[in-house]
Amino acid sequence: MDKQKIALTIILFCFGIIITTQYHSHVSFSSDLGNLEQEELAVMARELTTQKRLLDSEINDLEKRLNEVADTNASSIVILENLRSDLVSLNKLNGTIEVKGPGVLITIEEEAPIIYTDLVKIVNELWNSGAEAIAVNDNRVTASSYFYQSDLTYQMTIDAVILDPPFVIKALGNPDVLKTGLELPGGIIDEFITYDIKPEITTIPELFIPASDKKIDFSYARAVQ
Amino acid sequence: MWIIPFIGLFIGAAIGYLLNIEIPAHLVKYFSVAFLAALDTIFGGIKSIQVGTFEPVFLITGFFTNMAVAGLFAYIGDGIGVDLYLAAVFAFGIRIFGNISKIRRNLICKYYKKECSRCNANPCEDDKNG
Repeated sequence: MDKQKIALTIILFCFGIIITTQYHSHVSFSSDLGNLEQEELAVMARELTTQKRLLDSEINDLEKRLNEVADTNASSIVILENLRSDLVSLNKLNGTIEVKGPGVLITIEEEAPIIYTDLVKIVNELWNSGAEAIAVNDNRVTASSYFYQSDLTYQMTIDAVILDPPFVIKALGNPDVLKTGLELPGGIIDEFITYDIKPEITTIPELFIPASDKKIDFSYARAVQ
Repeated sequence: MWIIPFIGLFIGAAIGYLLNIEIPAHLVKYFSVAFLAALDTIFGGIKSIQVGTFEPVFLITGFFTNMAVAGLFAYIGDGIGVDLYLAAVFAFGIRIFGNISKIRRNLICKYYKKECSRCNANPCEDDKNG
């Protein structure tokens, strides 16, 4: 190999190193913002600003949608909860669910000479004293409950269910208020005493009142809007 | 045996690539001028081999001094506010393309093996070895 080739090989070898070094340096140089021309930077800034504005408006849109979705969700949850509590209230009112709580227990002994109107009076008085649920011999008294007494057998009924003595009336509510209401001077208990009937009234911290199994169907009554 | 210098080029490129040397950002500009000087020297060297005026010592010394001086000039130019950088790019650009065209003509002449009056005309007027 002659000198020419050796020399050329040497410088081409060096040139190879130089060209790759230049390449590496240029790549890192170009990616460094500080080395860019002002015009280039201005163009870049403008493009980035436009992009930022677009992205900002996208963020706004998405946030708005998120809020909408969250609102819809929240309001439907609130509605659902309201409906649920309404349903529970209505169930309690209609006697379609078992309820428990403090209240009074009125026991009328077997021999007591009472008629069905006495039961009606007691129930009336209990409602009047703020009772929230009443049951007679574990028959729930509902809005459409009725008391009756057979003319022949003198058997009393509630909603056509025969009531056998002793009569146990459970009322759920403030026990003291209920008791006081019954024992008011000139009230139902006073009246009973006249007939020598002595109902036993006890306040109970936790009473269970069963649900009514009556179904309420409305065929005629329609809601007035 | 023209392949050997190119093997040298590829080995050098591979080494440079693997070494991954980075010139500091403020020197990249001057290094790029030095790079042009190197390119010019190489084409000048190839041309001088073709025309038979090749001197290995000239080539190698020219290669490094041209690079150093080109880089230095660009640097000084920046310092004194004269764009010697652009002058170097311009000058080297002309020389490189001039040398390339001479190399091309020489190759064509050699290929056709005929006397070409322009091929070997006054070879010593050109800068020897870049």
